[in-house]
Amino acid sequence: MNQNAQTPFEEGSVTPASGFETIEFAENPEPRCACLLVLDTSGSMQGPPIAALNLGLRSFKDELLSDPLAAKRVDVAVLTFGDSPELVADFTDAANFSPPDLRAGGLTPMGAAIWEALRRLTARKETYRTNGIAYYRPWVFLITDGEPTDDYQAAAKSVREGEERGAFSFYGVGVGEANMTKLAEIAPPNRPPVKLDGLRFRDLFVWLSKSMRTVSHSVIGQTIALDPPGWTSTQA
Amino acid sequence: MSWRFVSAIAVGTSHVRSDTPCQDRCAGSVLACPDGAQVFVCVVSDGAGSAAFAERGATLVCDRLPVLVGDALAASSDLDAVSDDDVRTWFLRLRDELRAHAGDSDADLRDFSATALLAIASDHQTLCASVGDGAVVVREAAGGPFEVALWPEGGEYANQTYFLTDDTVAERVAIRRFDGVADVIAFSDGLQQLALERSSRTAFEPFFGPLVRTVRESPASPDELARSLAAYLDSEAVNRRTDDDKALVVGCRTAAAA
Repeated sequence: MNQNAQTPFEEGSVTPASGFETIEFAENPEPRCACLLVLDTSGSMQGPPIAALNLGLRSFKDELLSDPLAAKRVDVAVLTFGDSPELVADFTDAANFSPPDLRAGGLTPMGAAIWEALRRLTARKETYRTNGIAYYRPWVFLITDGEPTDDYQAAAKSVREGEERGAFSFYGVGVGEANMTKLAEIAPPNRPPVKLDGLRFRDLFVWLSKSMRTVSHSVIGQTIALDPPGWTSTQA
Repeated sequence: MSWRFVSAIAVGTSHVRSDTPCQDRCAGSVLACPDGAQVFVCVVSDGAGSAAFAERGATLVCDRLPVLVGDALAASSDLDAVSDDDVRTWFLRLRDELRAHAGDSDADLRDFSATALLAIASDHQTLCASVGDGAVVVREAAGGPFEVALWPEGGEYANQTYFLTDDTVAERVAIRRFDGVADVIAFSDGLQQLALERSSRTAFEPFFGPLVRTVRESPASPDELARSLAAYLDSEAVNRRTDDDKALVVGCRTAAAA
């Protein structure tokens, strides 16, 4: 929707479901780097894993806020899959991101979650363009401790095609008993999935925030050099 | 009629942090053509962050492009006599010169990657051309609205653009022509966030208004103005909005001699 910040109640600008959502771009016109976290919250994540993941999300926000530009430029959303894919935190700049308190339960509908993630990402890019917001290549960061319980082949194909086109960068991370073989079928061949060392979610999110800071500060023609992740298990 | 102009560059805070030099360059000059016309020429170039000799590439663009323009206008200041193909030829020639420099330094052409923005303004004609990021803004009459002559050109993402050193440079040259303008401003992508309103596709008046007013009305010498502009570009207020290098040239057509 094409809403002018100076005339918020322009005729037809207020629809039942929306109306004010684009005000965020008037407040913060910085270019955005979307980071969509796609998190497995299936029953097997219950207990220490989900607790560590929740703490990790809080560290993620804290780390992003320590960099004033990253706080404005990194656009975070969280999509979980347990019972069914659910966008528990819609895209917002890091400064306004409220880390959700995730609960574990249900199966692992990873294929459906990936579809939903890619759909949300495409819509977010469209919102940027409609509002004249410049943006960086978005990141999709998927974390799972299991294997898909639904059809994931077509979703995997979309991930690979999107990565190939440069539509986004996809990162796959396995936790605990995650089926790394299936995750490798989904992740792009040039960026195979990695295994988290134990429950080092905090280290993972500190690395992710650092990487997003690097991307959100990157300038024209710069080769983006990310730190090697220090949180992966060597037996991945 | 003559031109009063000021230009400045400032290193970005991200370059300070990573200990890399400022890779933006700019140049302004007034050509006195044999037919008596005073023609303002300004160039801005942003050296690619990934290029080993980015600032040398940008410097070469700012040194050489005004010379190529001067050669083309040596006989006549009529900008209509300069075809779009002529403009593309300048950019191709610059690329050849960058390649020669790279060869002398045992480097690759890509090591000299840089963008190029050019504006040429005589009393009645204005020619703007660019490859890559940054923008040119003009105002046809003093007191009138500012218009974005050339928008930043690049790919889908904010950290992508086209360079003079690309194979496809001839296709990437954007060219726009205007009648005589009162003010012309060229700036690198580090200032885009402050200067352009992308949603409405307009130039941000509160940015440009004071700039040209100062250049037009300040009793300060051009050197003092340049120092003051450089201080502004390096100010806390600007650095809060951008961590990139910044380059800015402002030219104003005046009745008095500059």
